[in-house]
Amino acid sequence: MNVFNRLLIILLDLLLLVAAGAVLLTTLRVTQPEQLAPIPWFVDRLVPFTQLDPTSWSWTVGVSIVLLLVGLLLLFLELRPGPREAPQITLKQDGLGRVTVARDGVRHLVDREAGLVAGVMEVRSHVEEDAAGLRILCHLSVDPTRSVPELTQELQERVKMAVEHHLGRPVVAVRVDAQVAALAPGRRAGRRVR
Amino acid sequence: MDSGRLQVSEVGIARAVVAAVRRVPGVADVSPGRFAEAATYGPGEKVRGVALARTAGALDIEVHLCALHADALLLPELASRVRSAVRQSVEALGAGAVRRIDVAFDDLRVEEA
Repeated sequence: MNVFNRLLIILLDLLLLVAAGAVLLTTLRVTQPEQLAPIPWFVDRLVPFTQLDPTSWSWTVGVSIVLLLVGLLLLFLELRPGPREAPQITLKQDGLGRVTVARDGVRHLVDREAGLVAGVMEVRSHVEEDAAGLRILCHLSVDPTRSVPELTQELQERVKMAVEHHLGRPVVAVRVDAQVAALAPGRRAGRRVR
Repeated sequence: MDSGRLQVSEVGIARAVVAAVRRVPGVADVSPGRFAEAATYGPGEKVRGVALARTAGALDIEVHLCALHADALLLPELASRVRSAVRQSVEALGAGAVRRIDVAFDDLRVEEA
């Protein structure tokens, strides 16, 4: 979810919490609508909750509590930080200590190797690590005159071989997300690799 | 009674370690660390790229470096060579036992022709 959508949901959620909280406090007669609401329009919306019959009162209290709980849960889910990947990949750990390589360094290696494949114009890679080994995802922009399946296969073999050779860690998967680049008329495909 | 062992400052050890690491083929340079500064601090100076700690009298050494990218580059082997060089440099100083040497490759540097 992008930042705008997330901010919008947080804003709407806060409005829900304020509204449900105000209705609950008013219905329970903890406070008067005039004390809660900063503007007359809001006071007018809250006043009916001071004159509820017993059945409506129970329903209002129940629904308000449920909405408050849902709002709090949604706020928690939206504000909780996502899982952060470790900035380093462990190559070896023994009695003498630990050998690590920066994840960005591995990305640079992958980008470089991928960029050496003919037809690859731009690369952006992502490296993940699990118990089985490394999983690599390459987002590519490729020359439209090249065969994407052939290029992809060559790239997967090249990246896997290079990473296993240099790092000594198994590569369990190289996923490729290729996008055919649009070429400007009369312009040859250059190679641009991050 | 004095044991006769030379007392070497931590900054002195760190400087020797940096010099030894820089001499290892395949090492471009030491690195100040990517996420937090790796350095050894002394009075009025600091040595970047090496962090030292003493645990029960033995040295724990953390070396941050940048490797030179080449076809023959094997990071685990380079790490072993770096560890050997570090151990030898500390032993040559008579700075005590080394318990642990962590090697962190902070980047792979490509030398463009």
